[in-house]
Amino acid sequence: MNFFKSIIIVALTILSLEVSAQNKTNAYYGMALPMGDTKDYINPASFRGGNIEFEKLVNPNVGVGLLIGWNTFYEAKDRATYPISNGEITSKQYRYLNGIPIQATGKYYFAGDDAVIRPFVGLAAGTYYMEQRVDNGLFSSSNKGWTFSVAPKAGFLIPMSYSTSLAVSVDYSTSFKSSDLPQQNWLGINIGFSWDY
Amino acid sequence: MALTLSVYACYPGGAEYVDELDTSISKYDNNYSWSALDGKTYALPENIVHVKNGKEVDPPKEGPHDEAILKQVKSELDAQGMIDATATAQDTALAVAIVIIEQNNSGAAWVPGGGWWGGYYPGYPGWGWGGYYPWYPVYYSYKTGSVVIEIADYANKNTVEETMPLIYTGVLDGLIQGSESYAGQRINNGIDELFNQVPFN
Repeated sequence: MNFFKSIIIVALTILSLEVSAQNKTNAYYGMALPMGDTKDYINPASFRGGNIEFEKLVNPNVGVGLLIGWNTFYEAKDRATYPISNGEITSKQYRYLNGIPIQATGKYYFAGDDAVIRPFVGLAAGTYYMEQRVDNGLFSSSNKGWTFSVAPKAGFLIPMSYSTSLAVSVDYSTSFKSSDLPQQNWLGINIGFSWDY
Repeated sequence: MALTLSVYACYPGGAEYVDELDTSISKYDNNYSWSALDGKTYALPENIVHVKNGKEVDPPKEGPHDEAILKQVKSELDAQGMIDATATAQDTALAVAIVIIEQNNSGAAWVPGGGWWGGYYPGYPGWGWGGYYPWYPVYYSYKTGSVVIEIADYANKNTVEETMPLIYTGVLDGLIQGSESYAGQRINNGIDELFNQVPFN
């Protein structure tokens, strides 16, 4: 519970920062390549995902924000035989993984807002609401819960107008093992827009 | 609302065809000596019990797949090196029961079995299960059909309580849709899968 309180405190701190700086809203369409344990569970890339980030620039090069999003992974396995307690089950198997991140973010922009391209690096940390579901034929089982997560990221903005930039980033998301859920990892590729106001 | 709809619209897949949901499940008693089936005798039931929406069909009525199921189960047990007790006038080591369950409801459950054994097994009427209690996994948001094959260790029967230890339950679960020949083919594939699972493979 203290973990969620910390997130709320960080979020409120971000929202209450009284600085004469810009705000940004970044919205991304997100693809994801499963890595590590996630790749063992679901191999295909995910083309279903997205996130939105509200960011405050505390100085011209440093932004802090709050990110929420959604990624979903899916794989239909061929009909096969799987072990169960004192037996076996033969069926097609449908595997799902849904992750909803709620994370605090920090970014450093290497160039000013008048640059042609603005590279950045950053880190997101917070929680994922994860749901891992396996359907065997007509039978379904799932594990769900909150996990701790971090995602280092790097990307760039290409200003297109006074207030709008094209935004591209990659991140490596890790959702740590919990009592109900195994660790998950994936490489996110995000394409979207960033608006200044 | 629009967000909910758009999220739902891009939520991934699942099964497209009825037979992609067919499931074959084996559960067995691992204390039984499964490696020594060769040469053991078995007795098949004379009839398959039909249960519709939780009630045994009475009077018994033969279904369109009963004959083929009995024939295939016999062939699978013979392939294990087992001997049909009724053909050799021996007392049997293993007794087999087969139940077909049709369910039209909503929800999902492990439906406890019981009472669907008695009265039709040749020579041993009215006996119940011993050992552990039979279970029938049934998912019934749709009209589903299950074929349940049970094997009991008749050689280790309890003559006082008139029970015999249940040592194997094989269950086929699927949606009841399509023609009888399509259903027959799916049942045939399912029984084949059961006998390719533990403890028979």
